Amino acid sequence: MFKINIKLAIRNLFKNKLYSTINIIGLSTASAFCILVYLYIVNEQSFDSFHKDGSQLFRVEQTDIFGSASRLNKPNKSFFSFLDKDAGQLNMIQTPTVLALDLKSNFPEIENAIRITGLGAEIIRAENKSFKEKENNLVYADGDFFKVFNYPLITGNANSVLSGRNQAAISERLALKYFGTVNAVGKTFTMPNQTNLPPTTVSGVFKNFPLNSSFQYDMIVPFESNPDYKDNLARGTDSFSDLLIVKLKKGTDYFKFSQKLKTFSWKYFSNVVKVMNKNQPDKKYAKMDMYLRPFADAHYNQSAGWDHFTDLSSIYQLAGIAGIILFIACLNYILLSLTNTVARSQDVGIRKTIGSGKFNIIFQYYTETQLLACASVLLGLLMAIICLPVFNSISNTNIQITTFSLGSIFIGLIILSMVLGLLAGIYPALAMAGLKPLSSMRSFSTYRVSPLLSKFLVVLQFSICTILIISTLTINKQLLFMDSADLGFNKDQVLILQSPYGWQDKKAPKILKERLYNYSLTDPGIQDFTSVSIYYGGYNNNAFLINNNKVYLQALDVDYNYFNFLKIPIIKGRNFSKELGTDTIKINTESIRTAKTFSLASRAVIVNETLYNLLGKPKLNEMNLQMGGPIVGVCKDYHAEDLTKKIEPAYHTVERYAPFSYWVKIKGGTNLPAEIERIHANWNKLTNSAPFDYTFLDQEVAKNYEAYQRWLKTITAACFVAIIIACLGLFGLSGLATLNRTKEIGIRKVLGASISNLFLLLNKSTIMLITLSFLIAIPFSWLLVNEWLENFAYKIKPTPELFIVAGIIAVVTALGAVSYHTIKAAVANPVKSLRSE
Amino acid sequence: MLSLKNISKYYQIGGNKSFVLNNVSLEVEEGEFVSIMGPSGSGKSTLLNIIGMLDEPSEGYHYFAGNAVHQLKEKQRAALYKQYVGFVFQAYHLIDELTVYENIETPLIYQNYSGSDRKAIVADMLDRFQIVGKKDLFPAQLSGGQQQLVGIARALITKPKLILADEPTGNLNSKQGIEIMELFAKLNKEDKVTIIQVTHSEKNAGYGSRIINLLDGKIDSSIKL
Repeated sequence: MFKINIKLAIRNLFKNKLYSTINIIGLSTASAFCILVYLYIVNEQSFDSFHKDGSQLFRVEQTDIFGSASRLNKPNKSFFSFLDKDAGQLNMIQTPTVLALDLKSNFPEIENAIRITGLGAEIIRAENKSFKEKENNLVYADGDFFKVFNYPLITGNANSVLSGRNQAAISERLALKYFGTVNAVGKTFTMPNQTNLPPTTVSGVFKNFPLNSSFQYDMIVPFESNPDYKDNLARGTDSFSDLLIVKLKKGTDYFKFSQKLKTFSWKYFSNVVKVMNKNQPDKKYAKMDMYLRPFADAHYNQSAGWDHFTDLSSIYQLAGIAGIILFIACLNYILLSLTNTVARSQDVGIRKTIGSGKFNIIFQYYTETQLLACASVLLGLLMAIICLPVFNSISNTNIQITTFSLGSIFIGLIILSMVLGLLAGIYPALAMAGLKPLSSMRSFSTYRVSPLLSKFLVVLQFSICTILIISTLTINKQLLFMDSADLGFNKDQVLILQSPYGWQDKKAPKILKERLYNYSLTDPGIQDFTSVSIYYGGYNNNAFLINNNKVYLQALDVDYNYFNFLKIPIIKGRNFSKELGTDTIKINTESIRTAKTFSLASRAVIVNETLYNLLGKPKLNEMNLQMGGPIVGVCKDYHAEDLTKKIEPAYHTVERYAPFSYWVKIKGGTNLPAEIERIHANWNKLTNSAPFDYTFLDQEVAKNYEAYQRWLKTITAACFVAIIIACLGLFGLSGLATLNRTKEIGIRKVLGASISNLFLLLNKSTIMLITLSFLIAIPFSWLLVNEWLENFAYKIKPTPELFIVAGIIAVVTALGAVSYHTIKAAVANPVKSLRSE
Repeated sequence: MLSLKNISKYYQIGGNKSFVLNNVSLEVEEGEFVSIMGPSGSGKSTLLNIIGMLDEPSEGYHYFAGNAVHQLKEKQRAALYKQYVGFVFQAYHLIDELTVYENIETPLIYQNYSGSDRKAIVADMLDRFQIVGKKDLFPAQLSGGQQQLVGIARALITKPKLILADEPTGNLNSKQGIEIMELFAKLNKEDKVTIIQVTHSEKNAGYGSRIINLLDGKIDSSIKL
């Protein structure tokens, strides 16, 4: 019986080649999309879950009473935000250095505690070459790091590798880069910014951390080697600087222990709370809590300072889109098979009259669908593997199919094909089995299965497609808007060179600045030069009381040429002046020292309009007690941050700190690669071949929108897939529908209908259906689009054109899909269709 | 009215030509009532379709109302056809989804009559065929004879000079058949409509003024009554 069913199913699939092809293309495209999303989700879930005693590892967090975590990381708003409130629960994950010791001595439940803190920007010199590594990847960590975590060492002993001073474990990657060999134990390198440190010896080489690890460290230095270690320890709970991962003893009750920890922390941090409440009278805290977050779940939380963040809401969105696409593909199948019932109804009738039961018929049709689903899923897997590199670049991940076990893929595929088979197969099978034998054997030329149902399905499909089109257009428009928006300064052709020196070094950056400035005068390709102690988008951000309101001020330290360089107009007062020489002088008068407000600048400042208005438009060049110095000028508001954020009150000081980056404006029309090469050569001379780290200002600005760019690409891809699938369905459907109307078309032609008459007649219903789905899509997409635009402080308004264009796209693609059949039917010779039977 | 000269219609099957019509020449004057007879497969329907310009001959010359049809373009042929010809089928070929009224109205829509004109013309026609009471029914609700009446009403609605009928009584019982044939005879006599019908029945052929017998794609005989 089963064998016969399969045989029949295969024959039927081959008999209706066109419809089988349409179905397979539709289902396999949807499967490919689902498989990619599945791989993505599994990959994200696998983050940090490979540690042997993973269930015993926890990240220590505290109430963020300083409000820094929540200010820096505004949680993204999305349709699914309500599902993962936890991600937005922003605690402070930096802990006092002393906490680890105090916890260990107070709680026997804690088996081990690992502190991790960054090394800072560092230039590493090895074998007469200098290198710069990503700051996040160089850390100090406690000696048991390799015992607590499962990061395998290639050489070195987990117990002793981080035990001595002036030693470091480095990654395979670094070993190869610096020394050309993995066997780098015993080799040395220097880190000049780590003051007082003699050359560091490599004590061990570890395998590169797996891609699904939040930590991606390249160098680990024993925690006690930190020159600030003793200092930090002595500061007690006044400094929050280290990540702290604790390992609980086996069998510890997590909930009971958390409770104990909370009581402990209220007492432990009571002093911090007291000081805080004194400084922030507007916001009083009763106590500071301590939390333990399971280590493997930490990456789902958006707290500042953790290296990997898995945005659960975007995962939900992706899964939602995958589900929708799967749904559309199944609708297609249902639509086509129902409409195709005409051809199959006689078959059912005959079967029933020769004694086949209802179940047999259901089973036979279901077998056919399931077979098709299996084939589609396999084809989908193939497509997914082919598309994986593209997907990786869109989603900014590095998923390799080889890292997945065959079993997990296999199970995923089976589930997917079952879902497809059941979703797509059950309804048509039931509908077939429900046909009455006599009525299905009578030959009817215009019999159609429930046209209302197929119309409903088409409307549903195209509503979804239209919503996706509108979303794509909106996201695209918003990104274009941000790209072309006037930021208040000129960001074109600006090369940013990063200072190779650490922040402790006050002299060298200034000397380099003078040298670079002099060089810029001689290079004909350079138009202008400035240096700042900030990086684009990075600045000091301090809470500050103005008229008793807590305000966050951006503090930007610039040089004399900054405003000219970026073409930011000074609308009141004057620019900083080198000639006056008074702008850099620190003011230290009695009145400022005794002023109730914090004085931040203590020197001449230029404020932006927003701050100027906030201060109540005070007179210029007078001592301003709120700023702690005279306001010498007011500059026009400009966007120091990306457009998702509002322009904040900001003030500028001049040459207060050592410069951190050097900005070079390249003359228009200069050969860029050659110019950069020239600057690089000169840089090597000036800095004794320090690493040449450069970007462009416009690229830095664009970087802030990367996540949105990725989202645009994802939704565009989904949109295309959905439209293609829906159009395939419409194509098949129109084929069957015109087949059903062949006779009518023939009659009308004989009655004098022209081809255009017929084309209109046949497409009228399509146009009506698409228009209806357009109308349905409008309110939904309006809600979605507005919700998404909430992410941006500066945004476009969703205009009617946007919706109209989407509607036109939907209608045109739909007409394109149906036109092949309608034109074919309209030009066919009526003699053929009207031949008397 | 129309003349066919050396008309042939054939299909290429392998290397051989399979003739449906073989060198047929025929003249039909205005006001004639011609019956085409012959066994199945003798080419009756093909000849009718060629006369009605629904089908094109493989060879030969075709003149219709003073126009050389074989030289006309598709569009001109369609215009000529719309103006002169009405078709009646054995299987009625009414549109199932339209009511009697709408079925009869359809050809007028394709000839760009205004709404009010259409209403008046269709009302006249319903009256003349005494089917006013049935105008809102669907084809499935009518008997075969009634359906064929609607079919003829629809063919006549544009006042064609020529009616082509392909076995118009083939699906009807004898009483209904007689009614339809008497209607044809009346149209021919009173309205001077030229009629060419294909039929199997000697009796029906007797209503006409000329009988043409086809055999294997050739005219076997042409008898004036």
